[in-house]
Amino acid sequence: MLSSENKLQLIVRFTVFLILLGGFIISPLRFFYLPLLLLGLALCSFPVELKKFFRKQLFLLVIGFSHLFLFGYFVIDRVFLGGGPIFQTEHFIVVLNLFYRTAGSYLVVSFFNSLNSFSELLATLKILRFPPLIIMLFTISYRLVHIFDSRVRQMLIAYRLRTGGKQRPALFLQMLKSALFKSFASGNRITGALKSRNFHSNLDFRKIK
Amino acid sequence: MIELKKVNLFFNPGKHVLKDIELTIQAGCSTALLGANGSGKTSLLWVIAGIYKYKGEIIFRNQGRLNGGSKELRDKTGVVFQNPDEQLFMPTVREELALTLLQKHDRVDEALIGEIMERFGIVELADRAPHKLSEGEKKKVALSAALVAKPELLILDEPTSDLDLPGKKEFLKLINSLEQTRLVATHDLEFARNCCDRGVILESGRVVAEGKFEELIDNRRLLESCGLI
Repeated sequence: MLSSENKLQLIVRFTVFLILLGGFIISPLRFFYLPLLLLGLALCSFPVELKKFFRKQLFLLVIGFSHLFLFGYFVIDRVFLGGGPIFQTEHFIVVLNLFYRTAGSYLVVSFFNSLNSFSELLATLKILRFPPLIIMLFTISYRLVHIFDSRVRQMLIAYRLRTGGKQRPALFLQMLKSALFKSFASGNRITGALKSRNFHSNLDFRKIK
Repeated sequence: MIELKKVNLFFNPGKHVLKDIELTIQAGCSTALLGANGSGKTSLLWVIAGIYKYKGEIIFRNQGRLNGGSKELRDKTGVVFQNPDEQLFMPTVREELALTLLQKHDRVDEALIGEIMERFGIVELADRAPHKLSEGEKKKVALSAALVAKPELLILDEPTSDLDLPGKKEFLKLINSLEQTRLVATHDLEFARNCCDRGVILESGRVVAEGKFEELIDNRRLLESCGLI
């Protein structure tokens, strides 16, 4: 059972998560630094292992830098061709916008993830009286994603072993197809397991404290 | 006593999976369900567990016929699946046990959960995620989750798969300490010999032999013809 102090802590974390996520999703691009500042503030205020957190986000930098070639087009377009035919400035803005919002949302989710376990997230949803259906969907999706993830990981290892590190697109596609089929069979067995325990969609997950 | 009378299972009009199954499972006994791959063991377990709809009759303790895929049938049975990862999906072990109670009895009894966890030695795993446990621990959690609702019949599908020798021994000890009637589908004859009093052999969806376990496994010709050795 959670103490009222723990409950308050979970609610505060969830509220900060929603504010940060909202910031990245709806703030205009010209104020891009504001959600980043807020995220920085949150990272300093909550017990997050910063080194570990940033190490996990390094790939975002790589993707971010890979967008720099667009900037090259932008310069050619604006400086040399005066907004001419090669590249539309709007396209650059759209791509930048998409990247900024996706990466920002990912950072916020990672931040929340490093603060809370999935169990705590579910506890928060229960405290905030989210509908049981939403809690149930979260719970089931979480497990299904885990099962799919572990299956794909195993198959990737097998793929690497069989190809000796070489790329074989046909075999890779075959592996993906097989992963989907196996996941379907797995889904069938999961449904059976749920059914054997009288699972139904009106189950009130909030009763599990 | 659980009786199966003329139980048939069809997946589609052309696929007759279980054929006129006649079977009696003695109360308090442990029955091994043996058969080669594809013989219909898992399908039969799923029929008895109330997952598949069948044709025929299943009668628990002379209480009348139970409909295939019905809540009544599922309330009387607890299932431990071959792969616990496909069975356990709550974020913590304690919640996993609570889920079974919520699903079967529509309420959560914390005292009962504590009692079961203590009995199966999983108290220290209570707040851990089931998918992060070892295979042996997962099996124990799956068994506890099946038993917390106090089913009349415990169904175990390949309980020793993925277990190492110490894990098998520990699991065997747990199984033998249960008072529930048990139905165990397995390829592991050694395990079955140590935990089952009776045996049933399936071949191509039919019961080809039934009787005392020791007598069944002494019949080498039968075991060979059914692809068991």
